[in-house]
Amino acid sequence: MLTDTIRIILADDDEDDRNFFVEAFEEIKIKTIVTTVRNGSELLQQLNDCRNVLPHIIFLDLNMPIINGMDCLKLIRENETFKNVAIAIYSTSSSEEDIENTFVLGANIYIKKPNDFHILKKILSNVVSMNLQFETNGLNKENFLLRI
Amino acid sequence: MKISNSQFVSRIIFTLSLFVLLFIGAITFKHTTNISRASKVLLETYEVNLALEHLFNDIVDSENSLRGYLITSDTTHLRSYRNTIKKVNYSFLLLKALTNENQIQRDNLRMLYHYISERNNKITSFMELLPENGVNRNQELRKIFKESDTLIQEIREKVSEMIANEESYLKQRNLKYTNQIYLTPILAFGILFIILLLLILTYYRTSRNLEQLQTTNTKLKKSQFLSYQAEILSEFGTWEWDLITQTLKYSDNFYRILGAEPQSFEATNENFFPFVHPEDMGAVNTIIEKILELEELPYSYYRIIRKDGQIRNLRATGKLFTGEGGMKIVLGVTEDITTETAKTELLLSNNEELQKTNKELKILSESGKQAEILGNYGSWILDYETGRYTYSDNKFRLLGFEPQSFYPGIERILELIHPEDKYLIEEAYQNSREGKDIPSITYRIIKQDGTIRLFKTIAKSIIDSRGKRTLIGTTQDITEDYNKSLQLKERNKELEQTIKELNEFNYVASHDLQEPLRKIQTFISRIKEKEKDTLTEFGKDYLHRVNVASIRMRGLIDDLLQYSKANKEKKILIKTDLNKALQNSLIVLSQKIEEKKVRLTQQRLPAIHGIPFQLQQLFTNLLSNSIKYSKEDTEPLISITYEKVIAKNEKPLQENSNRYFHKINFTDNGIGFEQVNGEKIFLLFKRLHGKTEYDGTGVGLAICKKIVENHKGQIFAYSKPEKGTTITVYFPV
Repeated sequence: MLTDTIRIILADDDEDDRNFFVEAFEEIKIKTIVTTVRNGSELLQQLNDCRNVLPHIIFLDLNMPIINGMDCLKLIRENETFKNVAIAIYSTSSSEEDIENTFVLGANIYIKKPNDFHILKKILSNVVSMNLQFETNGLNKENFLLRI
Repeated sequence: MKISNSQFVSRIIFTLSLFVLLFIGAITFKHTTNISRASKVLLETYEVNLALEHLFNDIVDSENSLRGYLITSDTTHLRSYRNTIKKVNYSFLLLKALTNENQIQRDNLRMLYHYISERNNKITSFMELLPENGVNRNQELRKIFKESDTLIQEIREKVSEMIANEESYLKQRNLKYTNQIYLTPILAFGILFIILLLLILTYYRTSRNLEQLQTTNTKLKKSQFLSYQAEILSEFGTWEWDLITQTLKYSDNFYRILGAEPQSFEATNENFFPFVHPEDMGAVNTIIEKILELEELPYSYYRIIRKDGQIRNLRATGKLFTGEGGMKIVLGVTEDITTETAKTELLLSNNEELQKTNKELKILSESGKQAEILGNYGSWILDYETGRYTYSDNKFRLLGFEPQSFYPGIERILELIHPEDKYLIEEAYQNSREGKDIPSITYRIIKQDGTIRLFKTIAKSIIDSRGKRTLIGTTQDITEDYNKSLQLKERNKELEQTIKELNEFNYVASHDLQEPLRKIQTFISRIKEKEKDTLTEFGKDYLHRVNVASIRMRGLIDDLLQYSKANKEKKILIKTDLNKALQNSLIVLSQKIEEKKVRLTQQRLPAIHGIPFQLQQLFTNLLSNSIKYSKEDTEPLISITYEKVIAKNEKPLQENSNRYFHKINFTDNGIGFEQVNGEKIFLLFKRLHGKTEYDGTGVGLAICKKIVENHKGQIFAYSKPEKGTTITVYFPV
């Protein structure tokens, strides 16, 4: 069942982070399909490809080459097609400025990359389950704001 | 002058009138004489005619008487005849007298006389020849009568002729007389008219003279009054000395100068001399001699002693006047110059002061010149009337010329201005002509040697007390200053860039350092979890040490990031309640406070304009420091006190002003430190203790200092080892 599987896409230029991310989901006992891309440009390509089904959650690093996370966020939120897709910012930065700006631009979740793998797993599982709650209850994604 | 002129005119008119009157009188006299003569002649003519008729009648009467006698021989007839003859003679004599002037009538009269005498002769001869009686007698008588008749006839004719003559004369004379009679009233009226005219003229002149005389008189009275007043005011007196009569006259004020009542003694030299200062007696005598000798007295000075003993300085001058009739009067003025002398002395002292001021001004002017050279500026004045500039020496030098080597006019100045900047000067010149001040203008000039200099000019339009408008300006060569300021600007820009870059570097470095560190820590956690069972004890120990080191590094990087953020963040100040900020930081630190059982006392804090987040950070850092460096065996005590202070009363502020400051003290009873380190502790990465004893990065207080400085405040630390530390923070009110 497609609905049972949660589609997740991560855009991050750092290979290690991508690996941690994938590994973390592998260890979490939730059915997920995790796709990773290396930058915003690749992410947009992936999203605009008609053959692909839209993801449930997009994880977006801010500091990326070619198209950075902030611009990417802007472009996605400008498109009506993706309005039901949750966007989680996944960044090293914990600056208030960044957090505020991304929420204003339509991000639903802000995650500061943790320095402990165990914590990472916890966070990701929280996000997915939270998102699932919104999905099943048909809640408006616009009110979905989470800072971890 | 005017009066004497009019007098002259009056005199001329008077003389002229006299001549005219005399002339008219002469004419009138002659005319009247003519008339009287004419009437006399007229009368004579009548008398001649009358006498002629009488004469003829008498002759006829005598003829008749004679005939009567001859006929009757009655002697009465003879007597009447003799009477008539007498009458004839009388008439004849009368006629002769009357016609004496008339030649023709005289001739006629002679003829008449001839006839009459002839007739008388004949009658006489007849009477002698006449016979007494007879026929002859009658014949003879007839003959006599006949002859006598012819004679009478002739006489009659002669008389008629004479009468006719007289009548013709009468006619002529009558005509003449009538003419004269006719002319007389015209003449009389003319005379009257002229006299009237002269009278009016004379009256007019006289009245005018009188008027002038009156004005002159008034003027004289006024000037007399004024001179009287002037005498009193300016302390001079006048005197007259008649040399002929040897009498003196003093004006009232002369008496006053002498200190006496006006006219209180007789004006004589004998009475005057006692007033003269004994030492100046000689001088006075010389004055008197000089007057007589030179007829004019130059200013002479002498002193007098008044009755009350006052000594007065006098100045005298005089002049000899010689008038008509051998009049010789010396008119003199004597002035009391005592006060004037005092005034002169005052003037002299004023003058001295003026000279002193002048000297000071000279010094000022010289120092001004030197200042111009040192300060690279020149001053100038523009006279609007002449369009001519006056330049100070240094203004010439600034332009590359010798001082005062040319006459500066606007055209000459414009030649020196950089072509691109000419409009600036022209505009300013135009504005100044319209009375506007010249605000600071900056322009380039090209010196004679071709170098370009930058000048700055300020000028002000000034109207002096005489209403003359001038423009006073100062021009400075600001080339060096401009270049320096350009350099400074460049440097400043570089510095700003460096600081920016440094901050950027700080931020990026700490930010980017976080990334690998996070990975390291994540990998450590990964290994710890995944290789828990495979790792040897040795490996586990090392991995633990790696983890501790990485945690410490994280702390350093976090603090550094915070410090750079304290620098970087926009400094928007909003009203912040410090009590609230403190409350927030206490919440942050609540766990530590509880752990260490910290006792905190706190006074109410003010609200200041600040960055709330930073102020909270400040409190957090200070309090966590106090907690961190508390003594292990003692209950940590932290007290926060507040007071409002004046800058000059607070020594550490080093500010002698009345500005108010908020002063907040954070006092603890911790381990403290040596006061020599009081300033060092605020430096970045400065730590006074070993890492192992007290953890920390040495950034906390540096951040505090940065935050306080961001709020224009100051922070100080006072401490004693083992006693505790007080951190004092000042915020401007």
